Formats: sequence, C-alpha cells, structure tokens
Amino acid sequence: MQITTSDHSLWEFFKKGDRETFAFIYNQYADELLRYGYHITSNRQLIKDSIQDLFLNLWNNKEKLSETDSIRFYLFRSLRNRILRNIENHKETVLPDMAFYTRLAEESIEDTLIETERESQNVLALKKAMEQLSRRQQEIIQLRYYHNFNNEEIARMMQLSNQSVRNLLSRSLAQLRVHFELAGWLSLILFVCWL
Amino acid sequence: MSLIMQQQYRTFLTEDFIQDDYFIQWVNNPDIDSSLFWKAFLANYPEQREAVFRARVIVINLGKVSKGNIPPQDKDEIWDNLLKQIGTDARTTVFWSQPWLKVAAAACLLLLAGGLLWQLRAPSADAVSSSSPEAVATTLFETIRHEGNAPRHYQLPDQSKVTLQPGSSIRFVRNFDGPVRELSLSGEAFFEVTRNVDKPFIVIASQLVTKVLGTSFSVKAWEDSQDITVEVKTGKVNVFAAGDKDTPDPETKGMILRPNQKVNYSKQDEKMTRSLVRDPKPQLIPAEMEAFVFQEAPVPTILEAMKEVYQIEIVYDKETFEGCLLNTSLTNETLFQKLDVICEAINATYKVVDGEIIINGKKCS
Repeated sequence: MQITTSDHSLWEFFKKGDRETFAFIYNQYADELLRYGYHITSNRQLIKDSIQDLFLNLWNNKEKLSETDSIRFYLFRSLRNRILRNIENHKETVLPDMAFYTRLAEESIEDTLIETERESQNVLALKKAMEQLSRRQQEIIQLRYYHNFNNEEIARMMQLSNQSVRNLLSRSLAQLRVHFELAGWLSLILFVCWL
Repeated sequence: MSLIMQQQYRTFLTEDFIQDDYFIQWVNNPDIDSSLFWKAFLANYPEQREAVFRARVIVINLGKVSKGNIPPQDKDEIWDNLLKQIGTDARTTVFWSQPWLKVAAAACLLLLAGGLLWQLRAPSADAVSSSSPEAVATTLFETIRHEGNAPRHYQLPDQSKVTLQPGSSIRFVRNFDGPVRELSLSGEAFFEVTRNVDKPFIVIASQLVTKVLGTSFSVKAWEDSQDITVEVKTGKVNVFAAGDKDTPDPETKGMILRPNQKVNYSKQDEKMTRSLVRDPKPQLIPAEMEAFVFQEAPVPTILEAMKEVYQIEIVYDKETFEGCLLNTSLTNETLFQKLDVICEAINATYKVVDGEIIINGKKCS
C-alpha cells in the first residue's frame, strides 16, 4: 500500500477546504476513475453520477475523512461501492445510454485499428479474449495491470480475501494463457535489444 | 539483500512473474532501484531471460488491453456539475479571498503579463491527460521540466534549491519520500543542498551518480553529449558510476570531490577524470579573505593560506620554497592568476593533476 507523505499533505490541505487542492485531486484521478467505472458497468449516466457523488461527498465530508488511506485507494474503493449501490437502487429508473455505448464501441474499434499498425495482431486477439471474461475478471485485471494495485489492495477494494483475489486472478490469467503464448513469442523478438 | 531476492526469482516461471508485485511494479512503473535489480538478476540468471521478457510483454499487454475507452467529455462535464453543486468557482473565489495571497496574486499578474501564462497552464494540461499508463507514475513522482530561455530557480521538498538550465528536467519521488533524497537529471543544473546527514541527496545523471549530504554543486548531463561533468562549489561530494549503485559500497568505486574540483565522466569509455573547475571560488567570505595580506612572506605561508581559502590541495616542497619571500594578497584575482604571478616570481611551474595543484621549482637564491 502506497501512502505517500504528499498524499498526506494533499489530504491536509483539502480537509481545510482548499478548493485548489480539490481541483487538483479531481484532475489527477478523474480519468482513471472513469476508466475503472466503465469496467464495472456500461451505464454511462450511472458512472458519471457516481463519480460526481463521490467527489461531492468527499467535499461535504472533508472534515470527517480518515487519514489512513492513500487518496487514490480511497477514491477507487469508494467509487466501486457507490456504483454497486447505485446499480441496486436504480435498476429500473436508469436506462443505459445505448447510443453512447454504440459510439464508444466504434471509437474503440478505430483505436484498435490504429494500434494494430504499430503493434502485433495478437494484442487485438488478447483484447477479444479479455471481452470473454466476466466483468469481475476484467475488473481485477484492470486493477492489477492498468491501475497497478497489488493483491492486498484489490482484496480490500472488492471485499474479498487475499486468497480469493489470487485465485480469481490466476484463473483469469489461465483463461487468457493461450493468447499470451502467441503475443509473447512474437513480441519477444522486439524486446531482445531492450537491455 | 538483493542477492537473496534474486534467488527467490531463480525458479520463477512466466506465470509466476506476471503475478508478482515487485515484477509488475518494475514493468509498469520502473524506478532506478528496480531497474538495477532486474538488470542484475538477468545478468546472474541468464536462463531466466526468456521468462522475464515474455512476462514483461504480457504485463504490458494486459495493461494496454484493460485500459478501456472513456468519452473524453465526461471529465469536464462532471467537474462543471460539481462546481455548480459546491457553489462558486473553485479556482478563483477562494484564492482571492485569502489576504496573504494578495501579494502573491499581484506577483502572479506580473508573471502573466510577462508571457508566462503558457508555462503556468502547461502543468494543469498535463494533469488533465493523466489517463496514460503514466498515470500512476505521476502520483508518485514529480517532474520539473524547464523550457524557458533563462536559468530558473526551483525549491525542492527538502528546501534545497536547484537552478535548471533551459531544456533541463529533474524527476524525483514526491516529497522525497523514502530513505534518500534521490532525483534524476537530464540536462544541466546547479544544486544547493540543505544538510541532512540522515538522508543523503543523490543525483542520478545518466550513468553517473553524485551523492552528497549538504553542499552545492552543478551537474551537466545532456543526452546528446558524450560527457557528464560534476563541479563542486562548496562541501564534499561522492561520485560513482550508476552501474555500481547497488553494490555494497559504491562510493569506494567512485571518487570524492572536494570544493572547486570537478569530474568528467566519459560515457564511451566509462572513465572518470578529476580536475579543477575553470575558476575556483574562495570558500571563505570576503571579510575573512581580507586577512590574507602578505608582506615579505615565505611562499609556503602563502600557499598554505591559499589551500585554506580554496580548499584545494596544493602539493609542493616546503623546504625548496622557504627562502622565497613575496608581497601579495588573496583578494581580486582568480586562483590561477595568483598562481601565475607567484610561479613567475619564484621561477616555478604548476600543473593540475587529479584535482590537485602540483608546484615544481628551485630554491630561491
């Protein structure tokens, strides 16, 4: 768990009601939180509302915040709880923004095509394989390899035991394994001169 | 310690590596320590190269494919809504209402008028795009990049000062967390380091490491240059090759630089050459210097004074020069001008060898 002194002093400033610090914290983490949100649900409005809630709540309760967590971890865990709670509460009232979701999917294909020119076809295959995994599996892989949380942090975030996180992760990786084989071998050539 | 750690990875398979915290940290967020560790590991266990390479590719790819896409406008939309709910514009109102900030604000306006608007905005623009895989790094590290036209002063978290030349940048762990104050430099900078014996100050410039406790010195390490130089203004610094950094006593493989000494490190042949800076600076304040006025004084007395003033070792034969008497003072001219004058007067010669001055001559008749 990374608790940096800078986090600590940011927190301190923030708790005193410094809006610059609030803006800084938002700027620093909003993108990452959005990315995370989209792995838990594809309901755009719900993600946006949850992030807005999260920060509003943070601002309104700043005096009561504990100092034990790193800001980043705190935000991720709170966002997760919030999204899950909101999914429960708004099951019928909030409908997914389908037009948006289609657009997003199209953008993602475009992105992939651009990437393909630079990278191996196998990354694309890996992406496809990832989509076959459950949301939870995708979430855990994103937390581990994109957001760089360690097993213990993920366990606390998802309210699982360390062992369950390890198991879930190995199982997901095992499912993706056949794609590693391809991607790994081909990219290996590119990395030979790396050291 | 690192050897024991290395052994633990000796039997790892690709799938073990991709689930290991230290390994993932290194791939996604490498720092100097982990880079050196894995480099050393691969050197000691070449049979693990393939597993490490493959695991590295997998970790990178997993990060890449799980990144996902987000609509770019969401971030701003949420922030605008937040501001509405909080009440006022966060960026200005509170800022101006702080009385002590009024002076600063006035100064800011001057800066803005001076065309620095762009520079001030640049960092926040960076922060906005923190969605890159660098996102994690930006929370741990602080980077100062100076693009202006003139050298600029910055204060570091430990109150040390750094003057960056245009086009130079430094990077360090936020707040200097950790057991050392460590930063990496690209370009040229002058450091005035506050003394802290418990937390050494370390500058890593390409392949050369400079370690100090509290002193002032400059480092020149441009990427396109074949040489790295370190010049010491005050205090004592330790310089050694980055490759030796994780050996038990890296200092023993490098050299100590005293005030007014410099080292030149050639990237090509990995060799360090110690010499003196072009214009050595007195280590005493001007008032103290005034005491050094000599009337008919023996040359050894004058040379001893110079050693004290410049903190430079001067090697000479005391007996030889005892009979040479001179009138001089140590103010005004530079060290080398003075040496020229003295040597000419006593018909001696001097040279700089390994950061010391060596004087050769004959007895005065």
